[in-house]
Amino acid sequence: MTEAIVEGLKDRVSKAIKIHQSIGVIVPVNNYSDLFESIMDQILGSKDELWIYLTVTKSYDTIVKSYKSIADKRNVKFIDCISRAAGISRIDKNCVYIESPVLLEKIIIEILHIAYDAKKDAKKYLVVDSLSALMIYNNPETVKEFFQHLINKTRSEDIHTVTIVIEEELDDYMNKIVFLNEKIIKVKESFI
Amino acid sequence: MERKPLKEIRSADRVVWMTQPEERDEIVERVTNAFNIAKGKFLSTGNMELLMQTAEAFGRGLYADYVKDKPVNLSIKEWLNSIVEEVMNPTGTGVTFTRITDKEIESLVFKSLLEEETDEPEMTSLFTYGMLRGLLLSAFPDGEVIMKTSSAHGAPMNGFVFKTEASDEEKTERERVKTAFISIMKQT
Repeated sequence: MTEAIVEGLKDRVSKAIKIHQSIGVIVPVNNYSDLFESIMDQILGSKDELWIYLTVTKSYDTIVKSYKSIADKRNVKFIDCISRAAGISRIDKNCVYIESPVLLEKIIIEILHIAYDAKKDAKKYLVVDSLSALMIYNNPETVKEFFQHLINKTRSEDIHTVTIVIEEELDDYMNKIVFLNEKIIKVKESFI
Repeated sequence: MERKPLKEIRSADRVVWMTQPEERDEIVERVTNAFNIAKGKFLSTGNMELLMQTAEAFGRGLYADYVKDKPVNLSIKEWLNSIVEEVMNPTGTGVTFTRITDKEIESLVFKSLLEEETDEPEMTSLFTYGMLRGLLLSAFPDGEVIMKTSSAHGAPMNGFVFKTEASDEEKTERERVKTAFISIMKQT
């Protein structure tokens, strides 16, 4: 069952992200790990595209422990927003560590730095994991400004974005933010 | 020198606190051994209650051995500081506390060495719940740990609420958690 869900999600997200500049994926809390796995599968299967994974939910070393080969992929870069705040001082060639998840401007700067270094003709994708986690650490108004800025910047740099939102944590504020995306995918078991 | 087991993170009117994990081998090993014993009891009997009891007893043991300051009228904030400093940080556990009041504490576990090393979210989540319950009830016998989200259910983080005094409904939380995990284990 889980494999079918993961495959279904992978298919939906991969098709949507190729067509649309930005998609928001609203996922029930209990299906988050299926969505995460489907995105990781997609990233692991990529070669020429650049993938930037902004993580506020899990630390980079936690992700690498589950997906060891991802650390060797040269087309995948992580931006880890929580390890440094938790005093974890690792250095990894595939990961940029942000001092704190409240440094939202720094996050945008790092995304753009990574994108500029990519090959000109490479397709570029950004995963934001997750808007809900950013809201834990930041004031909603600040996150809204950040997200508007992020969407504008990534659009101008032709970076396609996937933003994860936990359904149970959706409030009016987050609803307004997530609907800044071009396309919304609501994950329901029935859609797979 | 003032102890700083938690780091405060502020953004405008939002404030949260994060643990500062720094593993100490002897306590990490102790947790791993206890987990393996609890898991072994479950695998050999199929009895989830045994796993929970072992985890809770282990939590009580950790509290007795590692938490040095145990004033009679301990506040939950003092309890938290001790637990973070003596248990969570040395076991490499990354936790964000989103609310700390005099009666309850809300937390999200974003990093768990046990979960990373074993890749058995069902058993590690339940073991962690039991261990935390043992740690809380050692200081607050009328309290309860509420499990709000679990990675075993596919959630991004394990979410716990620690309460100094449980309501009648909250007192059934342990049974609710056990039943939920029995159902998950049947599916896996």
